[in-house]
Amino acid sequence: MEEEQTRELWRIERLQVFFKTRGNDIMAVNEFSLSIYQGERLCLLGESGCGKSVFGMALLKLLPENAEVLGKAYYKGMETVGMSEKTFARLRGTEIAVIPQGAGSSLDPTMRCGKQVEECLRLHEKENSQVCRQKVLSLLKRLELPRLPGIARDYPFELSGGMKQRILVAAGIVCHPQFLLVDEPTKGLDWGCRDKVITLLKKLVEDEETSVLLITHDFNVAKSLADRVVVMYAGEIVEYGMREDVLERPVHPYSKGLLAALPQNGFQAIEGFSPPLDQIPKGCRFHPRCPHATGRCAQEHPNLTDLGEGREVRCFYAEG
Amino acid sequence: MIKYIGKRVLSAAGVLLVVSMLTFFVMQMTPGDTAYVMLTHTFFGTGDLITQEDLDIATEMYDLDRPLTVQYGEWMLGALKGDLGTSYIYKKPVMDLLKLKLPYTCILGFLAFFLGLLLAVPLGILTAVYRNRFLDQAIRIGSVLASSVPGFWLGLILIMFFSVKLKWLPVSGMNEGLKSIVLPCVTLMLGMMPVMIRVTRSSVLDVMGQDYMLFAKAKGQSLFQALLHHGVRNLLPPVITMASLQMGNILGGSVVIETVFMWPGIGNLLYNSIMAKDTNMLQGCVLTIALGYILSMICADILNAALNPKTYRGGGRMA
Repeated sequence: MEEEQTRELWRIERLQVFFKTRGNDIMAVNEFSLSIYQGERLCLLGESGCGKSVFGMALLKLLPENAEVLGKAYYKGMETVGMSEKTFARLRGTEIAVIPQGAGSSLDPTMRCGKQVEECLRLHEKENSQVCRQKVLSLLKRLELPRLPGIARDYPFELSGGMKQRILVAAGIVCHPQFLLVDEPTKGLDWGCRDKVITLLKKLVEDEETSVLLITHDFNVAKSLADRVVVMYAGEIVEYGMREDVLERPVHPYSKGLLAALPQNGFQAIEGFSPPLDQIPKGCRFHPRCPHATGRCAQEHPNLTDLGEGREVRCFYAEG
Repeated sequence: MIKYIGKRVLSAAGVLLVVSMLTFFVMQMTPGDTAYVMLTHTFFGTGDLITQEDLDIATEMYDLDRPLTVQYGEWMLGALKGDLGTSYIYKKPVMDLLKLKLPYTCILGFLAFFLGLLLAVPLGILTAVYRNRFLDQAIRIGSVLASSVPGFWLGLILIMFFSVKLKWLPVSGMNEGLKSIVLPCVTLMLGMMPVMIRVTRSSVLDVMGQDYMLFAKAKGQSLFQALLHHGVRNLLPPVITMASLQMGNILGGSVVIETVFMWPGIGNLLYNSIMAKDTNMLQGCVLTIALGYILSMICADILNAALNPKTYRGGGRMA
């Protein structure tokens, strides 16, 4: 038990995120409880709008002002939900870093790429600019960026999408963070770039032994990077477990449906659409779309059931 | 870059040409015989005593009987050589008068412009950072008030209060050094600041909503650091453009403000030349103001181009 405690990087207990709107409060993330261990790569899988990015931003305390976060999140034993902005800002960049989504918009269009990577180093490690520049260049080299060192002096608009994404990876990882949130690293990239970014990212986090929370809707990205996978639907966890278990032998009807919808598995899309967050159905949130739904599913909200071997599923009829 | 500036200078010359034509011919369309108006204005209150002979002398003196196109053409030829003609009422070369009076307008205008910017831009940033709080609301109400009253009226109210009632500052003129510039300067500043505050505020809000600002925060920067490193260069272009327009407004608005405060700049000169149908003088003043407008806009364009790496890195380069 003692050893378990030290290995745990994040312990998240019943995290909830509300957005205050003019009408009523919208719950984007519901009772999210999860642990993230040192050195592991956890993947949060779900379709757009299921609240996965909101959860990530909530961990980093980067949500807009109208968001309210309830529950507890412990980073190395420190509670962060109630932590002051000032204290938490000291963790950002060095301990807890992020590789944001949107390579195009997350880079400042008026600043040279190298400088944007260097910024984090300059802020946290009080080293002279020569040392910082060397560190940045060697990192860019590891990310296999072409035209070194000239590329460090280029502006974002002079780079391709895949190159920009790699600059973002560099900017996220440059201070050797313990925990790295990677939000949709392959958004808007073509297949070739996608593979390259993922392979490089994987190598980098393995070398650095960084814990990663990867947010994606892409099965293949999850498959190639994750140790454990969490499937989210309409703001809550529906299933989690080891990668092979969840991705190859899913239990929850939603995970099964996602798998069946993949091109290589026959393109059978799940009927219907995921509900808007202000119109969450009663009972099981997935029941209107579930092929196995019964009367009980429409009435009662299922809790996560432990299937053993670190696997839990939110379904009444789940059997391992 | 040089080609770009060259183009701008050429188009500026075109604008000045059109402005001079408009000023000249529109002035001719205003009612009243030029010689008569000139004489009544010069010898004030002698309207009844002016004889045909006087009018003939005046007409002869300034070649007012020749066709308008010829008059304009001659003026134009002179102007190209740097001679803007002679003022009908002051009987002196327009160029000399401008040289004499322009510095006063510039002192007042630049002082108001830079002090106004120095106050308005930080205030705009503050109102954006503390949006919808007390400071923001107070400044917003103040801005609406300041921008909804005309400058000359505001000037008069300020004179009433600070000069007549409190006797802190001189009523008008510029005999008391720094003290005399305060009121006209404040009046001009109050005219431009509301616009500048609003533009800065909305530009800051726009930048603060950008992803790179969120990323800067995720790197561990405070809002202030993020604004300094990533905000400034991105939020400046609209502010600079609006500031250049305000510079023009200050030059044009100085006509009214200088008249109210009896400030001896070209605004005063312009006012008198309109009243006296002093075409040459008017041309000189209008062209000076137009030139000021154009120069401030060219400066803004150059500044904005310098801030945007795309202009000097020559389009996108793909790997």
